[in-house]
Order: sequence, then structure tokens, then C-alpha cells
Amino acid sequence: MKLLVAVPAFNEADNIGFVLEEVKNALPDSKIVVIDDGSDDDTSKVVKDLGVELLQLPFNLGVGGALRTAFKYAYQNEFSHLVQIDADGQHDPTQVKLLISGLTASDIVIGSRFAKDSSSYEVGFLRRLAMRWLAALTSFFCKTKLTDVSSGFRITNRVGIELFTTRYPSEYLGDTVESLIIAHRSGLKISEVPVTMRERISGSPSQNFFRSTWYLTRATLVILLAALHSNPK
Amino acid sequence: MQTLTLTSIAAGLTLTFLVFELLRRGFLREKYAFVWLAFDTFIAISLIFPSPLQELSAFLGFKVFSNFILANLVLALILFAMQLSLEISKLEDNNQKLAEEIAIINNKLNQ
Repeated sequence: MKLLVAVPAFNEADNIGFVLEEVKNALPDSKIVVIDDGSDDDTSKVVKDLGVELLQLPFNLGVGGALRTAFKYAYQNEFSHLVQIDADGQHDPTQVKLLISGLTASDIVIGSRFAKDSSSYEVGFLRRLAMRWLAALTSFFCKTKLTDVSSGFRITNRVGIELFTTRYPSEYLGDTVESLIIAHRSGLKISEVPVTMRERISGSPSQNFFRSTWYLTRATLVILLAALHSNPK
Repeated sequence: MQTLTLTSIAAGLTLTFLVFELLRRGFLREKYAFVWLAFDTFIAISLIFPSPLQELSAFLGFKVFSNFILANLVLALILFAMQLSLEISKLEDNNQKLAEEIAIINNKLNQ
């Protein structure tokens, strides 16, 4: 397995150093690449000082754009698998092996906070409700039981890498739910494994009450559009 | 000819002149100019020969001719705004692809 660890980062100078050290320790045989999504802070400097490979986007594209860059990079450099890890320290790189174990039967494996054996992950009531709804809707369209579709902790094999090089959605929420529907419609198998996620090391999470509601509305629209798309783009 | 017709024709000519001037200076691409010029021509013809349009308007059930003109104008503007949205979407898409390629190429160069 030639594994690429892709870490999309936007203004994460405070967290990324720790995250990268942790990934290096947990996955010494993999290659790490940080996609700096047009940060205004010292993110890219921290990455360079650590000697980690950097893909510097000239301006902010959003997570979807950053990840598509990573998929292109993985494809061109002939990596067999790409695992996405958030730069905010939420994902524990020692759990990547759990994701890998799920690859035997599928092309994409999602690390789920809410699967049967996951330990409890604290989220607000409204946000939890929104996530359940999205999971149910996505599961329906993907014909697979999924409990945590907005998780950014995933591994994708070569088939998925090739697909996402050109078809990774860059718009809002495209990187999570829409990409799953595209993958399913292109004949890829998706599964999930239970993982434990941590609180962010520093900074505030990007979700609050109003954002959750807004997220829910837009996400539903995104899923419906993705499912109804005439040819999977 | 009525004063109103003359002012309208003057306004139409100004618009046409503006489009030509923007084209000449290279500020406007032909594909957009074409839409505006077609728009201009339609207005000019309808001003000079209003009667066929008036008949069409009555046939379509408009009680007041000016409502017919206004409805057409609004429709044309909506279509034009839509075309611009489409063009912007395409541009954003291309822009993003370029940004991705630049990031990868920069990474290769710095190796």
C-alpha cells in the first residue's frame, strides 16, 4: 500500500504542527501532504519547517477544492490510497488502521463518530438531528447504511482517487455528502467503521446553532441535486 | 414622428454606439456584444415599425401595448443575467482548476 495522508488546512498554524507530528509517528511509512487553502497565517511556514510536502493554493478554494488538489496529486504520483485527516486535530491518526481494515470490501471507508461501537461524541441536539437526517438521506441514495456522512476522516482507494481527480465536487458540502453520492453512482462501494474523534485542539468549531440550521437546508438541497444529476459530474 | 419616438431612437443609437466603442477598445467580447446588438436592433425595429408588434401584443392578450414591451424587456434582462451566471460558473470552474494545477506545479518546482 502506497498511502498518501492529505491534510487540507486553512488558517491552522496553531494546530497543524502537532497534527503533523502525530501523523508522522502513527504512520511512518506514509507520505504526508498538506494542502494550504490560501491561509493568511503561518500555516505554510509551519509545514515547510517540519519538512512536510506542501501544496500551496494561490487563494481559498474551500475544502472540496483542496481535496481535489490532493486527489490529483495522489493520482499523478501513483499513490494507491489517500486518507484525509483534518488539520484541527479532531482525527486520531492511529485510527487510520481501522479505516484500512474496512478497505477489503469497499473503495471508500468513512470513520464514523456515530456507528454502533463508536464512543460518545458530544454534539448539540440540533446539529445531531441535522447529521442524522443527512445520514439517512445519503444512506438512502447510496443504498448503504451510513451514520456519519459529514465525517472528513476517510480513506479512498485507487479507483476512488482516479474518479475524484476529475469529479470531486468543490462546492459547499460537496467534499462530504455529494462526493459519496457521486462515488456510489459511479459504482464504488462505500462503508464505514466506528472511530473516536477528539475535540479541536484550539480555536472554535465552525458550527453553531444558526449554522447548523443553514447547513441542514443547504445539505438537503445538495443531496437531492446530486441524486438527481442527469450524468454524474 | 412623435417626440417620444425620436428620444427613444436617440437612446437606442447611444446604446449601439456604446457597444461598438467597448468592442473597438477591446473591453467587450464579441459573444456578449452580439446579444446586446440583437437587443438594440429589435428595439430599433419595433420603434420604427410599431404596428406589427402592436398586433402581436393584442393577439397575445395584452390590453396595453407598453406592458407588452416592458414584459419583453424584463424577460430579455432575465435571460441575459442567466447567461452571465452561466459564464461566471464556467469561469469559476476554470479558475479552480488553474489554482489546483498551480499548487501541484509549484510543489514539483520546489523539489
